[in-house]
Amino acid sequence: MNIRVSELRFTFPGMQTSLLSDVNFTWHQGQAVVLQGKNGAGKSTLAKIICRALPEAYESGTSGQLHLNLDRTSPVLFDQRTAGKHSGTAKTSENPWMNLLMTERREIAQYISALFPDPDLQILTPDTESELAFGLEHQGIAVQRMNALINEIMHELSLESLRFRNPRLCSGGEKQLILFAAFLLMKRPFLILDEALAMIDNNRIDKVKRMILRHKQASTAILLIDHQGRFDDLADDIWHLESGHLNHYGASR
Amino acid sequence: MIQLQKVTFAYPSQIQQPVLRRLSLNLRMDICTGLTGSNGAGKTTLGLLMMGLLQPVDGQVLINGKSISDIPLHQIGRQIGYLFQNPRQQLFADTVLDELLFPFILQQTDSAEIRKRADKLLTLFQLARRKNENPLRLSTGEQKRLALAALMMNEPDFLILDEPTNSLDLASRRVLGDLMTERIRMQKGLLLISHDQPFVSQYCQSVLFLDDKKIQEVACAT
Ligand SMILES: Nc1ncnc2c1ncn2[C@@H]1O[C@H](COP(=O)(O)OP(=O)(O)OP(=O)(O)O)[C@@H](O)[C@H]1O
Ligand SMILES: [Mg+2]
Repeated sequence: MNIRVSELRFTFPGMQTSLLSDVNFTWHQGQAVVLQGKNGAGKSTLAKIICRALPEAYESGTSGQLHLNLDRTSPVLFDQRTAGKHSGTAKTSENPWMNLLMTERREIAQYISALFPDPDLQILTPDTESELAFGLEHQGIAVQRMNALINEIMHELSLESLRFRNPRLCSGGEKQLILFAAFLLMKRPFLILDEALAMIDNNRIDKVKRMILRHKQASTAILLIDHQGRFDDLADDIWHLESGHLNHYGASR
Repeated sequence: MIQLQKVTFAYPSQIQQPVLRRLSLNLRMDICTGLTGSNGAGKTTLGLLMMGLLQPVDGQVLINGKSISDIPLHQIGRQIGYLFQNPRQQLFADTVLDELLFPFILQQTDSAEIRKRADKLLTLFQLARRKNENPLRLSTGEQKRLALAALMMNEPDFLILDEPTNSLDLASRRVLGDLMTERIRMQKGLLLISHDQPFVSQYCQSVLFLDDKKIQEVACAT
């Protein structure tokens, strides 16, 4: 499976210059990529376009193609050019392109999961255990197995003491650890971590990195954004976003 | 000087398990003190106690010898600037420029001098060209820079920065570092809560480590 983006161009509505111009890449399973770039370079915007979380990308300032190629089945194709034609506002679900966005997002959510910098926006349940279970639901796993998986990951990240706590009332780093665990349990083939681990302390970051590596080896595609460079040594490829262009570099290893 | 005297603190929902227990600490206001420790150790809690935003269950917090419970919150706010771990928590205005100006407009203390100060800070934090944009549309790193700029408008005597380097790119880190160095030169200190070891060791004169409800000084940079 891979995600291929070609000739992607994106401009925020009302802006003079395009934020992304001519972005091209293929991101495949088992590949860990670190995406670098200055503040405001468009890293998070690109991440959101990949997982269809950016309604603005369906307006006319966008062009290019995003293919999600699934092995053995015919490729699922999301063509931004078709989307761009439905110009209009995002107000109602009667809007044809808004429907398109919802359909595409639902479709693509089976394959991609993405964690963003602000954990408060992504916590869904009132206790840590449910938050982790949420990641496992819809996978058709027996309850017993589910509990075992939850116990295992809680132990690995030393989260046991937070099991019955409300994640919203936990510390910043604890919130990020809980979401990280929940998202790993989801086991989507593509995982985006956009500054989602920035508050995690130095004692636990090595463990977190080992877990990411394990998932990569089990053929998850990983995209990491981090300003402290803490994940560079996990990367197969470094992508650098600058002035709207995505430059590719080999790993620093 | 900020002093904690045998401070015990527990969150209401976790009243049986205090986050801090009989913690005492003297914090100099003319140097940069680092505060590190594992997730959930109580660093943010400690910062909020020093701002009077949380009240100890037992013990007391003193600012320059005066009990913090006797100082009105807005007065503490004028003296001490606080950067929240999540910048979104402190952005309210409709535009980048207003984010810096609105406290002054509210108090009718807006002036040409204030506007000049705002312009200078926006330039310093590379936001001058964005001044009419909605803060919520800025990137995370840009929001952090904006929160920092807004904080500096008051010219506070002391700063508490909770993980300021998260989401800052290299250039912005340097801007923040320079600003901290300049403040120390003027004997206006700060407390830097951070997991960012290289940054802490570069800029802090003293580093505290908080764990297991205890605090100890771990290292002094040169
Ligand atoms: N509003 C709250 N209600 C209940 N418990 C809380 C609340 N905020 C924090 N806690 C708990 O208090 C403890 C200390 O939290 P605090 O936010 O001070 O940690 P921290 O050292 O800043 O951690 P981090 O490095 O993750 O930011 C943690 O166990 C946390 O889960
Ligand atoms: Mg904290």
